[in-house]
Amino acid sequence: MTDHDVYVLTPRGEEQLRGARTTVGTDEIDLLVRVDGILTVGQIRSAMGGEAPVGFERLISRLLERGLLAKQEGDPFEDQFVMKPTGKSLHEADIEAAAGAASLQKTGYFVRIARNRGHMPKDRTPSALVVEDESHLANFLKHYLSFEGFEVRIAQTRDEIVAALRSPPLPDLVLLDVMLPDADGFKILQKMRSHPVFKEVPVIMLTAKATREAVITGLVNGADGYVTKPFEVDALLAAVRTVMGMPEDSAPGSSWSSDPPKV
Amino acid sequence: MPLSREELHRHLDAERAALRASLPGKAAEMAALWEVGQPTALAALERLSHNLYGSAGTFGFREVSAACKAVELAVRGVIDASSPASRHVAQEALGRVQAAVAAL
Repeated sequence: MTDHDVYVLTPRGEEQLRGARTTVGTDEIDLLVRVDGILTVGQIRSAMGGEAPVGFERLISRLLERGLLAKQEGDPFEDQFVMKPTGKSLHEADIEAAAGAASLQKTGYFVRIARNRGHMPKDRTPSALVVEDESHLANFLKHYLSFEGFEVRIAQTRDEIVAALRSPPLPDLVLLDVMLPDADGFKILQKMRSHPVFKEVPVIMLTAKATREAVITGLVNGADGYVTKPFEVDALLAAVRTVMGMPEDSAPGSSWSSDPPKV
Repeated sequence: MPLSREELHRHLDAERAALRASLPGKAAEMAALWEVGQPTALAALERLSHNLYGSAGTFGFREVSAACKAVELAVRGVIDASSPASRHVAQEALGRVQAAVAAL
């Protein structure tokens, strides 16, 4: 068993969970209600936090042996894509994109302020996932966000993105490129937005695709911000602060009081 | 633990230097892909120029970035066969990339 494994309830497990006569203990019930065929073992343990029972893995093994759980084969993340933009959402995104076009031209970024999802964790280091296949730029972003106080992971391919999203903790922020070697950033965004766990994770598109159509696609699919490459660090950090609901003159690590260092 | 300002500068300088050192090789790769000229090579050239447009510009190599953008657009024109002039424009833009990299 690994942290990346995903399990589903068997019919017997469903019966134990929902039937009138259950023979499983409280710890087991608590675990069964969390198993949904989507969350990984690592994510369930992370979500349970201090409530995760001692011998968490042993508990899962016991439920497997009793036939109440079964390993989910295939990639449930892949099956989450159900996004069908409506005419209304397209119209709203078109209006937003038009309003944001001036901001993009002037400052190089556009933030969908109405979609502020921000919540900085107070009891732990915030984490960011940088999805960027250009390694120099990925390292650039990693260093800057580390300076800002984030714990940063980098993903460059589709498999790495899936693995990174499945490794606890959930990212507090995702910077998402569009043109990736084996994936389309907009499709990754669609999948995140239709996923029960990842749908609320703040996502800023960071891409050299700066056409009105590209911005509309990003907004329709649920991006919280849109920053165009090449970018100024000020513009990127302003977008991060707005989306994360942070005061304009502060950062998670409060690393500087005046201007950020320039390249 | 967050980076200190000095560590950040050191890392950023190192990344910028590494990108700069890689540019002659990337410009040569772009020229080679153009010479191959097949659809997959052109798609790879479009991707490479797109990536370099973003990274070179962000690291302050603005001429290289602008020339790469011109290559990306022209190659897209060649792939779509949208403009008879695209091939010539792409050739010129590739020359601009070479010149901009040589001038660094």
